[in-house]
Amino acid sequence: MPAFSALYIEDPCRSLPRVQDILKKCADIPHIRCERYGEVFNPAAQNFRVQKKRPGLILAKKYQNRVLPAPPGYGFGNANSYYFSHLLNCPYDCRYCFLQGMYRSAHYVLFVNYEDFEKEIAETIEKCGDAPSYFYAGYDSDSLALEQYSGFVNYFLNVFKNFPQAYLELRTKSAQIRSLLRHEALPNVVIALSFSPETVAAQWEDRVPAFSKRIAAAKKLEEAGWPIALRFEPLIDYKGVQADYQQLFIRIFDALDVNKLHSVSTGLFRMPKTYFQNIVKLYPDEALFATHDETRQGMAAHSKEIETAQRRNLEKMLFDFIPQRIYYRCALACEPA
Amino acid sequence: MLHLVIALIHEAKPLIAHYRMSSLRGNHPFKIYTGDALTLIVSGIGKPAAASAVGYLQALSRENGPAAWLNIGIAGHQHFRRGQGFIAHRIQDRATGRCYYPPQVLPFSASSGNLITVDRAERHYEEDSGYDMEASAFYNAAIRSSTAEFIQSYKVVSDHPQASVEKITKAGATQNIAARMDEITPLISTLQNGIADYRKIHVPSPHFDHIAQRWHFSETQKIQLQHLLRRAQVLFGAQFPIQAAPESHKTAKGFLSALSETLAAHQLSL
Repeated sequence: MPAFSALYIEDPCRSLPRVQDILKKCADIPHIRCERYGEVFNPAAQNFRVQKKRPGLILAKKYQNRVLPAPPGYGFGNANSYYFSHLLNCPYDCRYCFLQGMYRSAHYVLFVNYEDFEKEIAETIEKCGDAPSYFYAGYDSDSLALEQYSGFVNYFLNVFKNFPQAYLELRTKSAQIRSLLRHEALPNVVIALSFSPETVAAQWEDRVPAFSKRIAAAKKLEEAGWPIALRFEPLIDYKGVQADYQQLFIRIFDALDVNKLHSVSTGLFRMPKTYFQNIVKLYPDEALFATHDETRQGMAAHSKEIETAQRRNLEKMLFDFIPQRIYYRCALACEPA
Repeated sequence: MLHLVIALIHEAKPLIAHYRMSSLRGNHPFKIYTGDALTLIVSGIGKPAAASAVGYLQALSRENGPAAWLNIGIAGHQHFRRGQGFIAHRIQDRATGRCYYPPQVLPFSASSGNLITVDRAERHYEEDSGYDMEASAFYNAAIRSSTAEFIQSYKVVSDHPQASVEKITKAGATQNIAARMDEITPLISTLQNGIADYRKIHVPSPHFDHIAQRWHFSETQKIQLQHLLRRAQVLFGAQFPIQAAPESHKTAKGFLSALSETLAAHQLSL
């Protein structure tokens, strides 16, 4: 787990028991007070790449926009789809991740007022009436990241246990699943695991646990009855990509029971142009960005021809392993987990 | 490159001696000393002096690329013992209330603490903090030309409620800093190493000057050339692919176009 460089604590949340618990766990690093997390997180003239080596943890309250509509095409729910972010930034360092271009700082921001999130989630579910609703918790971070400090999973499993008509997706690259295994599996909580070929992981997914550990964790979750989803994104073009995915699919579907899978999706390498430009400034020495030159509808992406061919080939391979009914295309890729 | 900003010559003396720095010749409004990848400016006391000194060094070294900045000096503190050193992890400007948070992401070995920058010497020490007269202005000026991780302020406690500011002597200031060189020199090394790594990443392509002189490039084309050459350096190293070799082209436009197409068509090998 990450060693934080410092803890920054917003004045209004210092007295919360959840915060006091984290302060005790991080007693040996500086505790620095601030009025609002933006004072630390938002100033210009910060360098995400330098900070990523040893980020700090900011403990803050989120006062508004706690639950937001999910972007069109994101996730497996067609309507009533929402996302919420208790954590900004991620302990993993994936070079293709849009967070590097979205935020100026690599510090983690943990919003500790879970009770307010819970209230807003409950209100949103109520508004949907009897219709199912879908909540994604891995948009601005990895859902299981920093669990030993945040206790996020433990808290929100208890929330969603009371709303069987509402689905929660926890998206992760983590192999730390103890918090899940301590609970009885919930049919409305989907554990979405992101996988890339090992060559991609070795090149661009720093600090992510090894494939063998993650697939073992997936197997344990499956055995415990948790709905498992697989996410293959972003699809990056390179020589030998198809053979690598073929190998990846063989290993994954050899380990997991396809009949128990909740869903499988693929996502393209797409990123808002402004984020991409920020990332190129941070990583001018990164080959992944040196080949890219195409922007379509404000998004940096592979060429249309490459995207189409790659997705078609991958889907063809995938459908040798899974039924098409559990597959969907995710419209947005390059998310953290 | 690291710039040291120090209010008093008596505080600067141990550093000048340790790094064998020599006085910068010429007519300057501040005393400036230089050493190996190191510049030291004696700013004078107070916020306006610190900001002016940073600005002067920024102008003087504007062609040299990004640098790290370190403000060193003596300070008061509510309860730290005299002679204790600390890096400021939160700097508050008492006059404006504005706070700065120099990121502590580099592996500094010195401990850290709060610092309040005051306009007049502090005598009450009411908060759990150090008190100085330059850091907020130093930081606010330095972030205009560098990134926050490489801008730090290090203070040695010279006064506290039981040992008032009036008792500070010139020799005492020198002694305070000299006694903390065991913390200051690693801090300087860490910042120097950090900024050196950062500068390496942003080194322009070695081909730029040569190619820019080969044809006439407009200013826009020069920027495009810089970007394309940087990408080519990442993908192909020192050698251009044959289709984008400068010798194969007769105009700037033709070369830029060929290089751009070559880069876009390149498929990565992992």
